[in-house]
Amino acid sequence: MRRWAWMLGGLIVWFVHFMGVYGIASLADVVSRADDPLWRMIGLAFSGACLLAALAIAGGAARGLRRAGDPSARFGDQLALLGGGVAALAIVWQALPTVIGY
Amino acid sequence: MKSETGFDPALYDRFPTQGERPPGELKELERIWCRPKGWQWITAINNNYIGVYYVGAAMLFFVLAGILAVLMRTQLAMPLNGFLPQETYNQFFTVHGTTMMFLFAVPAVEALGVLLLPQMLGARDLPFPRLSAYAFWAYLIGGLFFFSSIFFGLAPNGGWFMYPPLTSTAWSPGINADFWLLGIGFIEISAIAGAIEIIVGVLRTRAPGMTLDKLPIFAWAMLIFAGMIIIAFPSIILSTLLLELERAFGWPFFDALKGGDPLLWQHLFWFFGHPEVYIIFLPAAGAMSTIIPAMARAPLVGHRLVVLAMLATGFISFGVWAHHMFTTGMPTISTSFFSAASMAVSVPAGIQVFAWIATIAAGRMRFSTPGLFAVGGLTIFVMGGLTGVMVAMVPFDWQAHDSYFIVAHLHYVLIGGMVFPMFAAIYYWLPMSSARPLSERLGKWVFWLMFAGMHLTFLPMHLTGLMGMPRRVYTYLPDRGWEIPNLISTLGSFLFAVAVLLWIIDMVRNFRPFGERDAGNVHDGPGLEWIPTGLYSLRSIPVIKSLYPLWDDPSLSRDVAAGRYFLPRSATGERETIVTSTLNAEPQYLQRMPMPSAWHVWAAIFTAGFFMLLTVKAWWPAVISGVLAVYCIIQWCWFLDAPQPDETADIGAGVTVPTYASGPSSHGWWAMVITLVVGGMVAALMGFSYVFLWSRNPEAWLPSPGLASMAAVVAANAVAAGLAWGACRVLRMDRPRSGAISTLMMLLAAGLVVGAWGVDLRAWLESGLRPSVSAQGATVYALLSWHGFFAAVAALMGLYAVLRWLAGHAVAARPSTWDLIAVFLVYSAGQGAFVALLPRLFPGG
Repeated sequence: MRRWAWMLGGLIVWFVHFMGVYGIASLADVVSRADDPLWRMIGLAFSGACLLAALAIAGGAARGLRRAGDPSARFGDQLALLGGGVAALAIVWQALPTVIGY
Repeated sequence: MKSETGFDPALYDRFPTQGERPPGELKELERIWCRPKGWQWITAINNNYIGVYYVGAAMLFFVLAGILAVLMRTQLAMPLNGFLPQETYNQFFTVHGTTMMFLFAVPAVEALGVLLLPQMLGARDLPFPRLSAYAFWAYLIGGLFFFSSIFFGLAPNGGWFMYPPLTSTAWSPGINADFWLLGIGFIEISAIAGAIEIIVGVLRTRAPGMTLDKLPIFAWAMLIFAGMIIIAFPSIILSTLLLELERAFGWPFFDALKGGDPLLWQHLFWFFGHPEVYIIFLPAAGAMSTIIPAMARAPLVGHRLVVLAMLATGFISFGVWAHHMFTTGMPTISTSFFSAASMAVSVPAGIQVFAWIATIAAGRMRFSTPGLFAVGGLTIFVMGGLTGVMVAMVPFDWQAHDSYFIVAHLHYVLIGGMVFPMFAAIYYWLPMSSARPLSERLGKWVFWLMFAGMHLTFLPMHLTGLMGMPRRVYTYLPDRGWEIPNLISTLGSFLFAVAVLLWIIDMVRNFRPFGERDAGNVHDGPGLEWIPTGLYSLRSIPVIKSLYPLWDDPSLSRDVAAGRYFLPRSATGERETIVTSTLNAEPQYLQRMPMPSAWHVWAAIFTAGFFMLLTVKAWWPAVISGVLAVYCIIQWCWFLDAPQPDETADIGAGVTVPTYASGPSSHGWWAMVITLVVGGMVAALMGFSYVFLWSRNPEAWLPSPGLASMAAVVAANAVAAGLAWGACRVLRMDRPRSGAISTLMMLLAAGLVVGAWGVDLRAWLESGLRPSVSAQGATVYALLSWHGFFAAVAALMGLYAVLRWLAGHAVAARPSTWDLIAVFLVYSAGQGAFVALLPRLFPGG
């Protein structure tokens, strides 16, 4: 299970991120306004944390790839690297409405 | 290679074995995996039969829903046409959409998986063949029942997404909507059963050595598809359940006057509905990624990127549901997030499209019928994808919403992303199951007519939509400029229908399944499915060393057929397959597989009967049918954990593995855990519904019962979980009274789960909250009802444990049944605690 979690780590972070930003905006809408500046900053901080997590996974996978491993392990590291990279890009993309307005 | 399970990979070097196999081995396999005779065709469970039945039924529903489409297009050919009355038209578009999405698209790709995966993975069959057969019969009976409603004017008429309040009793009296709610809810159970089979099959029954990097791309697609079903389909099960509760008992989940909100339906429906599109697309994409390299005679370019893209599609599909709700007045920042996510979908889809184009460019593409359908599907899908990016932009979506532009977009995506790949798959893989391939000449006619018909039908709809024609209108006024595009669309649909008719003729002329031989590898495909097979699948199960085994090892097919790999004979004298580890596919144990019996068919009939009779409000017959279904399922389960004659078996070349496994390494444990994930998703989404409805009207929320009842419920559930876990430990001690003590513990655990539920229910009843008065009451009692269902099953399992003990089956050597009951009880206890905690601690006060 750990190996699966590692391979899919970046994508899991991506999932947590988009669910998180939807949840934060919805919560803000109940408590004050969905685009309340304070809540937007909270959303941005959350996006930043997710971005760091995605990059950490991608970095870890890149280090794993440099070590000689069997093809199966390499495949897992490649998936983790690609997943982390895609997640990092997607997180930045989806955080843009918070950063530059909408 | 580092071992995952302790298996020594050096043992693979013993294969292929040398010399001739002893005579009689093949005859023995043929005897064990024999052909059904007479009525046995109904009780057959072998994937070679169920897979063909399944694909056949799905295509039947495709044709039926297609006929409705042609009739609708005839009605719309001219303005103010009187071909179909308004109400009939409403029923037709609802049944057309519902049948295409629920009875054709998902079952068709699931069917393809059931048919192809065992051979593709090198398994004798999928691990739960009776579950596949049950899923098929439930689907067929439920589907025919649903579709037949149209002949009695009882078909649903609220559109395939059945939005309330249009579908509430105020606006949809009668039982039409109930046909949809109960029928579709039931059919989704069948889809989930199939998904469990596919997940466990792909993860646990791969040929030895088939590590994840060598897993066929179609199997990857099916694995992701099935995982998505497990996460997404609980949402439609829950939403149909809630709407039926509102219609039948007046529980106001969607009634704004009593604190409900129709938007809750939209959230729940589209949390299922949008992933559904990718659920349909991914297996078709997997088929494309298999067919294009075979037809181009070149490995798939960017194989790993394509795997990543499919996984990414699976994940992001759960983050875009609200793009169907841009016009509902959500906060602008929320729509911006969903808009961004929706645009991001095009990245993984684009990776796959470019990989296919690059593969075509890298190889020498053969434009035979499967190749034409693959390339045609790619073209259509790209066009649909581009309009998808357009409607992901909120301002554009506001303009195009509910217009024919959306009808054009969704048909481009679904026909390009699923229908054309499905036809490519039929033309490509049919020689595997039929003595004759389909006709190339007719196939090309089918393709070109379908391709032209598709564009003629749907391309003009972009214009009619942009000119303002709304979807789902049964007629329109003249002089709006809609006449010509509508007439072209209708002519196109006739062309499409002619193509389907030609395909049916081709099938009747050439499809010869279940024979002694098949047409063979006419496309020079590289996968294991092209090795000559019998009803036992492959003669022997090879060690996999390549992603394209037949291309990279020309002697593989011959060696497999000569029995030079694993399981060249039946090791136990029964049906069996090798269960392997999830990552590296190392042999772990030999699974003894069930023989055909009628119990799963009766179980499907009575389960379908339960839902059908509920639809027509025949309460007592429904209860009787439900009890009979439970009885049949218990009969079916009773022989699953049977005594083993030998503890180990030689699976070839002196490699021995156990013939039994329990706990997390067993396939049954995996199936139970996945089933409970479905239950957990329903509970979690109910929790979401509770919080969502609170957020609509917080001041109307009443105080919850005291914390004393909560503490009692949580404590009882904690003790139940401990007892269930302990019961398995006690059984494994293998002492003289282990069986009796562990049975008692299991019974107590089940009793505590039921008792805790009773305490919780009583506390809420005493608080004065009632389900039909407010949304709070409705959601709280929905949570209690859902958990009540689990408590009832827990009680049944407790009694089942007692019966097993009385029959002498509570023994340390076979703890699998105990493990599964314990897993269920531990989950149920956790769910009971969740149901007690959430409504009491949130919102608090």
